[in-house]
Amino acid sequence: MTRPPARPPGIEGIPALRRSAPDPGSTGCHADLTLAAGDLPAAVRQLSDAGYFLEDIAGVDVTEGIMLVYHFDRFEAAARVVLRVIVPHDAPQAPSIATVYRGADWHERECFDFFGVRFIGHPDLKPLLLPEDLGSHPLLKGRDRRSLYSLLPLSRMVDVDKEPE
Amino acid sequence: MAPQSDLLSPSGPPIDPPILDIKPVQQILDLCRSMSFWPMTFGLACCAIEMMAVGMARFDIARFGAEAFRPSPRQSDLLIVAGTVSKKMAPAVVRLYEQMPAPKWVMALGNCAISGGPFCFEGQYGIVEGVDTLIPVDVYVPGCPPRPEALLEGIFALQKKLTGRRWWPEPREDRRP
Amino acid sequence: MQFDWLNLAIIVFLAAGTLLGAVPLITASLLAPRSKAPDLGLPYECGIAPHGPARVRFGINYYFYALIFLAFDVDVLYLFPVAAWYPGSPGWAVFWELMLFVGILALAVVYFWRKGVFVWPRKVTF
Repeated sequence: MTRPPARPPGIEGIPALRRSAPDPGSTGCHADLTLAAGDLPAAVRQLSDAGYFLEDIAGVDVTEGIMLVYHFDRFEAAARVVLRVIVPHDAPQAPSIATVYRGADWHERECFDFFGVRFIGHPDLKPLLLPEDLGSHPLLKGRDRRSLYSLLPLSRMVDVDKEPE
Repeated sequence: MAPQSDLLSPSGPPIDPPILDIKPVQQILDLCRSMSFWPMTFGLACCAIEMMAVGMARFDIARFGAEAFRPSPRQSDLLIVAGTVSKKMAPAVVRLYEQMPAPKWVMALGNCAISGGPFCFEGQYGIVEGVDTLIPVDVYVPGCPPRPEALLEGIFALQKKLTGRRWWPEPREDRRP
Repeated sequence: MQFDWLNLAIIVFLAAGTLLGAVPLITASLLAPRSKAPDLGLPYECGIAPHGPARVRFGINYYFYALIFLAFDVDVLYLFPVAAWYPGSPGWAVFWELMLFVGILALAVVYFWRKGVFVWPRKVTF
């Protein structure tokens, strides 16, 4: 089994608002980038060209907004990269990556279903798992919303200037 | 949540009695029907595993005539709702029940089909709390999941409902293991 | 022609066959309860309302089965009355007609032979 690289290849040059170097042993991730919503399609295309596959698109409802979490990984020499995008509550929109990764179609439908995030450029944004007439987005926390800082450890929020050797 | 189905109206599901309603003939027919239910495989969740187990050799539903599981509602007369009915699945359950020709019976297998089971809590958004809010149920088999023997007892209870008596010996309580 | 016991037997046989099919249907429609649910006649599509056309294109490779069926089954069916009357028929003309009929159908068999449907190259082990 090949050792995972200290630095996942192919993520240089992504304009991240914040980057951190999580411990792969405890978090399973090798790079953690927070992006602005507009930078997402270019970053995803760069990862697709570097040979990453999409693992998951998840959402977290926090006080700062709705954080969309994208997990990418490689088949050989596992190197999981996490991209985070925070969209505001009053305008929950993000660009869709369904044209780059076909599998993102259903993940984005699920995020729309449960959080109400609209993905611009999605081919057919309709509910995946919940009935169309439900009328609410169940995973929005409402008054029980917590802050991002209480959910993620500080080590994953700290900006890292230099990539670790 | 869909409005309450008109299958559950006070007059019951829209099933007309037979044209020749001769009681002794219908009793004989009910006896024959009860000894050869053809279940419809409607396994939705974990209880489906128990339903599969009951179709296999150890618990053998074939002894009681019900081994012909049919995937199509047109050819089956017993709808075993084995598992959790989500609100997205609810219209399909109702439509399949309507597509079954009469006479037909429904068994709610497992706690989720009876009342929503472990999914009955405040704030749950996706699960129908009991399939009897959608279609009329004839026999309830509790358990999470019920043992295959419990499914068989449910079939016996349905046979008792149709014919008026239980045809098989009661299991003895004090069996030495 | 005269109406004799054989003709009567055939008619009785036909009637019995028709009744064998019709009596269960009629009995069931008289003795079974009738469901009046609105969706009863809806075409079955796994519980969802059907969409798309019912008549779809199916694979043209099924022509294999149609041709083999013709060559073997319908061939033999038409040969039954021939087999009954052949011993009593005069002359060679009947023979050549029969050869023509079987020959045309044998062409289909030769076609399949050349396609290799009668050979299983791998040894089947269980």
